[in-house]
Formats: sequence, C-alpha cells, structure tokens
Amino acid sequence: MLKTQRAAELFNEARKTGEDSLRRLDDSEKHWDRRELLRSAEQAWEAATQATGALILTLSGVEPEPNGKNDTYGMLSSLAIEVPELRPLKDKYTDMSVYLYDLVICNGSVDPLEFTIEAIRNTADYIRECQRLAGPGLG
Amino acid sequence: MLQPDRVSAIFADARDLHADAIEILELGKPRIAAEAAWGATKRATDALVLARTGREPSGTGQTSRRIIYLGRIDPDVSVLARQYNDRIVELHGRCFYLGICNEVHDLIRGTAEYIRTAEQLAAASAGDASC
Repeated sequence: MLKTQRAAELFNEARKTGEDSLRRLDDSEKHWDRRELLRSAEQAWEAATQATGALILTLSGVEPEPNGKNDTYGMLSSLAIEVPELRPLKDKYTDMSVYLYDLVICNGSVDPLEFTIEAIRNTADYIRECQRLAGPGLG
Repeated sequence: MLQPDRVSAIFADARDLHADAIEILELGKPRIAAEAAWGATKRATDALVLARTGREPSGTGQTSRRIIYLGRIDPDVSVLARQYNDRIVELHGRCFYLGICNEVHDLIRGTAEYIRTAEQLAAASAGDASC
C-alpha cells in the first residue's frame, strides 16, 4: 500500500474512533456510566494516536510502531525539533498522554470529571490539527 | 511540622535529589540520573502543591492531577505544569522505564531551574486553592 494511502486510511480510522468516543461520551453523560466514560477516554486516546501516526507517516515516510523503536512520542518529538510548527502539537500530545493515558486510562480515575470530559472533547480538534499539518489531500 | 517548614523541607529534598542527579550524570549514568531528576521534579511539585493547597500529594497521580488543576487557575503555574508533563514523560517514562535517554541531559540539568520556579510560585502563593 502506498504511504499516502496508508496515511489517509489512518486519518479515517482516527476520525471514526474519535466519533465513537464522542458518542460514548454523550451516552455516559445521559445515563451516568463511569465504565462508558473510561471506554470513551480509551477511544479518544486511540484516535489521537492514530491521527499522530498518520501525520508522522506523511511527514517522515515511517509509520510509528507502538512500543517499538519508532514509537509515536519519540518520532513526534524528533520531528518537532526539525519542524518548529509541530511543537504545540507535540506539547498537546504530551499533555494528553499524561492526563488521558496515565491518569484516566491507566489509573482508572475520571476525576475531576470536567477535565476528563474536556480532554475527550478536545481530541476532535487535535485530529483536525494533525490533518491540517499533514497538508491538503490527506485526511 | 508546621506547613511552611514542611514546604521548605520538601524543597530541600528536591535540591538534594537534583544534586545527586548531576553527580550520577557526570558518572555517565543518564538513566539513573534521569530518575533522580524526576524525583526532584516531583518533590518540588509536591512542595508547591502543599504551599498552594495545604495538602501534600502522596502518589504521582495526585501530584499530576493537582499541578494540572493549579495550572488551570494560575497561568504562571500552567507553564510549570507543561514542564512537569515533559519531565514525567521524558525522564521517568522514556528514559528510566524504556532506556531511551538521548533527550534527557538538558532536562536533568534544567531541573534546577524547575525547582527555583516552583519555589518562587510557592512563595507567591495565595494559599487558598483546593484540589
């Protein structure tokens, strides 16, 4: 598969996962359900990682491997040194990894609730920012 | 121990840990130095949280949550909270856990500045926030 095709596919997956996450978030708010909120956070993080992977693939030609030598955070950090425009996105990814991944997903704690809901909702903007940085024709 | 004494004691602990980190770094062991620098970061952050809220965090999860919370209500703290996130990911997560230590030298040395900033923010604290 061509790298541009693969990047477009990853962006599609990111959007779908992000939309599922928001639907789940809405459901969890209508009928308060902590497990649904946690699942929504997991999907939001997955969507952010997919979009970041698509952006990295577009810019570097290499798709990140979770837990591998070319991990998402490491590759994004390296690219952000070369491309200063990526620095704010890298900061957002770092903040999401600490809040959504470490604190909500790994520790299983959703408090304060408004922070968790905001972090999940912000993922849609994050995906759009990855698409913008990847350039026209992708995503 | 009175709260101001406790805050000072935790900052002193942070400075000691950072001195250890520099010593270990100079011995050519960046992975261990990174963990000491992370410890110094956490302790300085704990001291700031205690000064601002009256409560000392216990685990790392509490420290992270409370510095994020304080960053939401004070833009000066939000700058430090950003640096805290960089440090937990680079020093603790990537360097110490995964052994990926190529980016840590500046962060280890820069922890002295992080501690100084946290001390300034603690000294300027209104002391009435709560997490």
